[in-house]
Formats: sequence, C-alpha cells, structure tokens
Amino acid sequence: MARISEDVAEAVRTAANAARGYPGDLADVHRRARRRRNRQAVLSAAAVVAVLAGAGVGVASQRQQAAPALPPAATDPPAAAVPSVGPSAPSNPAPPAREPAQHLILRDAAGTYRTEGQAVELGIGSRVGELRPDWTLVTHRVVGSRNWERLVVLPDGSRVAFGSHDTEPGTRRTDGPDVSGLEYRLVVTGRDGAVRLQRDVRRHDEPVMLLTATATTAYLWRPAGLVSHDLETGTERTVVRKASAGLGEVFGSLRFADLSGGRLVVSRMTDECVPRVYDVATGRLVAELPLTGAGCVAVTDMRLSPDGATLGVVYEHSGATGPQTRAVLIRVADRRELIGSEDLLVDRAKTSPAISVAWEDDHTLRGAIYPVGAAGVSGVDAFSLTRD
Amino acid sequence: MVVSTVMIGAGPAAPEQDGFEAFYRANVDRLYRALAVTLRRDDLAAEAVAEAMARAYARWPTVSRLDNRAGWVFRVGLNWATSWWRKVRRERPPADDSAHPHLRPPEVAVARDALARLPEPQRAVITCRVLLDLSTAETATALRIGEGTVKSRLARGLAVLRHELNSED
Repeated sequence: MARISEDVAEAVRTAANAARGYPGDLADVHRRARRRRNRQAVLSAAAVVAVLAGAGVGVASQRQQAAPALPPAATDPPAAAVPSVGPSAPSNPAPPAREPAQHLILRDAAGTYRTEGQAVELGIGSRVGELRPDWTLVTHRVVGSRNWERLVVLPDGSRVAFGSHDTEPGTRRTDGPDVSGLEYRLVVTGRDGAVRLQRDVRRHDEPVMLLTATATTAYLWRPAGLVSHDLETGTERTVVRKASAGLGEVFGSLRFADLSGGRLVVSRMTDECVPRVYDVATGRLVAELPLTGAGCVAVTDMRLSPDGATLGVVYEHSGATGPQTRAVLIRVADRRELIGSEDLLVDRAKTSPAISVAWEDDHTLRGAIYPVGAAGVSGVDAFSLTRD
Repeated sequence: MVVSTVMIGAGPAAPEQDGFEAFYRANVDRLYRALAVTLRRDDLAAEAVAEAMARAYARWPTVSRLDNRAGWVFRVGLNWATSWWRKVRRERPPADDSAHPHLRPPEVAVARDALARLPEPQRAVITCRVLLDLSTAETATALRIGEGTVKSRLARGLAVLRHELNSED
C-alpha cells in the first residue's frame, strides 16, 4: 500500500490551508434544509416489505435470492403507446412473454448488483439497470447522449434518451446559460440499439428536460410548461402551461411528475406530499391527493398507472421510531387509498438506498429498493402492490 | 387474493437532531477545504458543503448513525458539485487560476500545480486520506468505490505528486 510521505501530505495541507475560511454559516444550512424539505428521497438500506390485507388486494414482496420469484399479479395486457416515464429497454433480444407497461428502471443506481445470475455494474459507462417482471436484472446501454439524464423505454423496447452533450470537450468556456458548444439531445434508439433519431432541442438561454415519450411524441418541460415534441418533425406545442399545473416556475419547482393515460401528475417542491393530477387535454385539475393525513414528509417516487386512473406513491413519513416508508395505490377518481403497504423497511446502512416504481399493468405496481454506491455486490429488494 | 407478506421489523429508535450543530462546527471548515482542493474552486466547494450539510441536517437521524459522517458529507458534496457542474454545461470543472485567487505564495502555487496534474478522482482519494484522515476502507465507503480502487488511485496520485514536487526543487 502506498505510504503518504510527509512532504506530499504537507503540500496537500498547504493547498487546503490556503483557502480562505468557510464563508457559510449554520443558519444557511437550516434555510437550505427547510427549502429542500427532505427532498433527497431515500430510505435506509436493506429490506422490506409489507403487508396488507383485505379481500381483493395484495402485496407481494421478494428479496433477491431469498425466495422464489412471485409472479406478478398481472391482469390486463399492457396498454400500447401509453406514455411511460423512466425505464430502459432490454438490450438482450429475448423478451419475456409479456412486456411491462412501464419498465422498472433503477434510477440513480451506482455500484454492483445481483439478483440472479451474474452481478452487473451500473452507473458506469451509461449502463442502466432494469428489474424485469420475472425479477431478473438486465442492463441497457444508453447511446448518443453521454450525460444522459432521463430515459424512457417504450412498450416496443425502443428508447428515448435525453441529456446534455458537450460538443467542444476540453475547450475552456465561460459557464452559464449562453455557454457555447452545448446541446440538449433527444436520442431515439430502436430495440436493437441503433440510433433512429438524434436532435438538439436546446433553446438559447432555456432549460429543458424530458418528462416522458411515446412512439411519436416526446413530452418536454420548458419554462413555459409541458410541451409535446413531435419526434418526426420536431414541431412543438404547449400542452399544459406552468400556471395551469400550479407552478410558478417549472424548473426548481417540480419534485416529481409523471404523464400517463392522458393525465399529468405533479408533485411540487413546496408541497410534495400533495400530488395533483391534471387532465392533459383540458389542462384542468382532476384531483388533489394529499398524503399529509398519512404523515407524509417526502415523496420518494410516484407513477400514474397506464390508464391514468391510479397513482402509485412511495413516501416517507415520521414513524414512532424515525423515518419510515410506505407504498400506496390511490384511485384518482375518489382519492381512495386502494391498498397500502405497512412500513417497509429498515436497516440503517452506510449508503442511501433508493426506490423506483413502475406499473406492470393497470393493476400492479412494482417497486425496487437498492443501495446506491455501496461497496461490493448489493442485492435488490422488490415489492409489488396489486389492486382489484 | 392476498399474496404474501414479509415483515422486516421496525428500525432502531431514531436519534434526535441533537448533535448536528456540534458535528457541523467541528467539520465544516475542513470539509470545505477538502472540497476546495478536490474541486479546485472555492465558490463551488462552499456551495457543495452547504448543500451536503443541509442534506445531513435533514436526514440527521440516519446520518448521525454512520461511522463516518464527515466522509458521507464529503461524498454528497462532491457528487452535488460534479452533478451541478454537469448541469451547468461543463463536463469537468476548469483548472482556472482565477478560481483560486488566494493561491499566490510560491509554496502554495507549487502544491496547487502539483495537485492540478491529478485527475479529480485521484485528488478526491488523496484529499480523503490526507485532509480528512480517513482510512482506506473509510475512503472507499465515502467515495463509493472499492478499496482496491482507493489504493490504485492513491498510488498513482502520490507518484505524480512526488514527481511534481521534486521537480520543483
């Protein structure tokens, strides 16, 4: 093992001590913490899952390599061409009998993971992991956008990726909204990985982010609101203005959003525990679904079902013994909680676990819980909630 | 059709927010300096420390249980900074002298130039080991990399530093 000689250590300390003292203060930390409001969604490590009872509803769980795989309690076939956020498609060409309506991508995964078979490394080299309905873990490579930030896998396995791309790497420039040599790319690839479309959607002095996509349309957040971007022509149309979605500003105000079944759900930074569902066609508010009564303090992930009728939410609440996490399915029409897990988890590990959820079909929400950045090989815990 | 249930009990009692302020006051300056060396930008380091400390505060019941809380804050700050930079359209922070106006004395310039030769991941490892006094295992945990990676980065980084420092003599 390399020994750190005193002269080298002294040089490093010299460089560090040359910096002026830390200019911030504790009050600033408190202000930031209040603003963030536990924004960093997370739970504690290890395992989980939960309960449930009541006729007609069920919760299934599985811990990797700990129990035989439970078949998803799927009912209807997946809807076609329904917007779905997130996941990426399998690069292995042997699809299972049924493709999920929404692919369960392990957001923010970084490290080495194993469910069955070989361990896979995620978060490096643009490799994305997906937990398949049979609970196996597959990886996909995102191409065409080095700094990809968002990926949508369509029902046919093709993918729509979004990310920034530096066209002048290594060139010194002044940062800022007008920086040169930057593109925001939409990249559409087929199931075979071939790039079908690559388009720069950057506008001068404007942030932009992909929300979701269909085979023909990408839905982008721009400062004015949610816009539909025709993948064929590049034509854009505002479908939900920011004010209609209750947003003073789009960027910096959104905690979570999802679009599915003609409905948009938005969770705002200022009150993330009150998801609001809007009708995309009319821009009108359909329902507010407050989780505050359940003690919600932060939302971890949420997805609308393919038909837009049910919201699946994972949220943190203040339990008697500290932060706890629940998953619930809420019917949008009457705001009724159809099914909910008991407190999931809880082993406090050294790394922060993440949770991602996606709908198998209109009835079953699947979720994955996994550590981020842990050393060694990590397992992936899974759960599902099924409603009638 | 209730399918199944697996209950994995409730966690240990949550610590109180107590202790955060002491942790903050004991560590914020050295964390800031460590990030300033790693990122080579004081302003970015200050923002990164503030963000990371805010996250530690918000999740103090969890963070306070960690063996290496300073390492956690360092890593969160580093991740935030690199992510922030990416979003602000640069894949790497610039090695810009103007970002370190205080680095003027010769010995500081020598140290600065030597460290500037290192890729950021190697600087991060050396920073953790030298400035934060973390062990190899703690550094690996803090940076979310393997111990072997820590050792290899440290070895390569030290070799470059030794060469650079000696060549200045």
